[in-house]
Amino acid sequence: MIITTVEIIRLFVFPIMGLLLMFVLQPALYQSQIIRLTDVTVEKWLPNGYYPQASLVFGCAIFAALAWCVWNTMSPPGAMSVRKSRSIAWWILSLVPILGAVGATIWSRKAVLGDKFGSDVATLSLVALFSLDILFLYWLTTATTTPGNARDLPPGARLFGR
Amino acid sequence: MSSKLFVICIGGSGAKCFEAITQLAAAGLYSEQSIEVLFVDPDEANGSMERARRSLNTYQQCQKLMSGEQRQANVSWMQTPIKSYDLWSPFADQPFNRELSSFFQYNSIKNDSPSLANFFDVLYSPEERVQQLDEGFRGRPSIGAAVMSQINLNQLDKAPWGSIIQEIKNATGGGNNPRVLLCGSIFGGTGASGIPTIARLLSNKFEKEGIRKSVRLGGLFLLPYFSFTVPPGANTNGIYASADQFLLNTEAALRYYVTQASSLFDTVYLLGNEDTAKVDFSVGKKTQSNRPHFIELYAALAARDFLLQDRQDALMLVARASGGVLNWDDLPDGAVVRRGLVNAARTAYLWLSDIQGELEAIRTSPGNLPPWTKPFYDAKDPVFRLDADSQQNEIKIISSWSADYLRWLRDVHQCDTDQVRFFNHQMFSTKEKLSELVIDDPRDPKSKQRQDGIPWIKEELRRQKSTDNRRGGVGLATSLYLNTNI
Repeated sequence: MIITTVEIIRLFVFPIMGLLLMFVLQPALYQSQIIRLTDVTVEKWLPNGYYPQASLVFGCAIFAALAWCVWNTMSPPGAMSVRKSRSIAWWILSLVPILGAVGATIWSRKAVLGDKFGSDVATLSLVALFSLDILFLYWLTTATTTPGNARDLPPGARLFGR
Repeated sequence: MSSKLFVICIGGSGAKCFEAITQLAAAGLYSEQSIEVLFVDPDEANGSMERARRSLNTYQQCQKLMSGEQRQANVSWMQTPIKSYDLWSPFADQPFNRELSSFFQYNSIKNDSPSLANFFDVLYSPEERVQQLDEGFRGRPSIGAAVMSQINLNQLDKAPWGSIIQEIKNATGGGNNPRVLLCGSIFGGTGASGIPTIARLLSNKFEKEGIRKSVRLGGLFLLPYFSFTVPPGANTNGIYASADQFLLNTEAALRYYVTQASSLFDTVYLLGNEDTAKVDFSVGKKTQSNRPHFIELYAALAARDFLLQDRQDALMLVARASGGVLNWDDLPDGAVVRRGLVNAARTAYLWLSDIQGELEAIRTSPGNLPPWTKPFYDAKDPVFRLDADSQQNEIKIISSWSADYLRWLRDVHQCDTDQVRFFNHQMFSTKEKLSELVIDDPRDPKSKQRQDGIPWIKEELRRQKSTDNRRGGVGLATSLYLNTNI
């Protein structure tokens, strides 16, 4: 097996931590009014707006990260040219959670969800939080768990001694 | 501890045999004991000889580099050191005028002993007498025999003979039986005349030194396996070898060995091929550079047999299953030989087709190495920095050996009379065709796919344990060899 036990453990731990971040910590920021939403009731917005949107971002990020790791486990890059194209592939794959986040942010607006569950005030905070989530779930996961000779391909992976 | 092998290569064909021995040594088919070689040829610029010496030099550099690593990793690849006494010419003391008449001081004889001079006139035509012999004996054993017979026991005390005989003497210590193998063709000029003369001199010398019973003396005689036609208008520069004479020369030489020299050798190997390969005509020097032939591979295997087996009064025969085709099964000790040749070829192929190019591409950024190079190179270590001169030199030497080994294998396959079916040699110059390199690969397709994917091999390189302590280009090449072994 190319992928090591430590990498497999990380592959489980980071999504669980992401899950807690997105579905416990971040909703708490809204509930505790650290991030104040003035155009919607938080209790109604969370189950009907935030959670489905966060699920979309979470799903996209985890799908991209897993796809990247499985791909590099099944087909490790050998030649330099393959490594270069694999690097580009990482960026292309990163579009999946980014587009998911863009879609989720648009989905949160009143124009889509209506006055009862939509929030235009939340847009800015959602952009910031979803960006953080993508960094955690896609970048950090791939940078620390990519196996074998692709381990240094995610940008910044060398920061983790890869 | 196995015995030491001393090879005396006589003439161009003898040199070609040693070229094959060098390649088989690289494939780990001999022992850890060193092989020592002396080339004998009046044509010091003989193309085949030059190529053999070049191959030897390439191998020696690589083997020296690898020697420490091999002992640690316990691999047979490149395990055999080869010491060369370089080239000895019967004209070594006569650098300028190399005419036969001058060699025999014909003018003095004519004055002092006219009857002897007349006898000389009967034996040699006027053209033969004035022929410059620095291009060899031109396929005339009668000329060669006359020149070679002038070597005497006293000359064997001088370098390089003195040194090699001393080494043979030293090798008899501890109850060992060093092997001395004389090899060359018996259908041309130099080999045909040199082998019996030198064998007799050596045998006498060993008797005198009291070591004859300890030394095993072998003869490796090449029977006709190539021929040529003289193109009309070719610059023959006087007398020249004629392929028409080859069979006649061979018959005479064999008769001589049976009647006059059968007691000289402890073991004799006779090698030949029914169909003779066509080579370009040449009178000698640089242009006499015939492509390696599979008969020379057999010659190197004969040297292996001579070194590793202790045959007593045995008549061994080796022949092919079917004429015109040569398969792995046709080689003596085929499984071992195949493994050695294949593993060395896979390493050389991967090194040249992938590793070397990648190392060159990343040379300018030693701090940004791909993971599979990291066990071997370290940007913070001045000795093992990829861009360090010593590391670049290691890469260069390993690349040279790889190219030379594959060149020899390719040439052996390019035989115009027989189909040699060991490797798909056309693949040697392509990339990522490792799984198609070997003909009749016994592995199942699944393990082939697993073992032959370059990405997977690089994964194995990346997972190299630091406790294996394989560093630099040498460590990388050794790991590559171990990970491509089948």
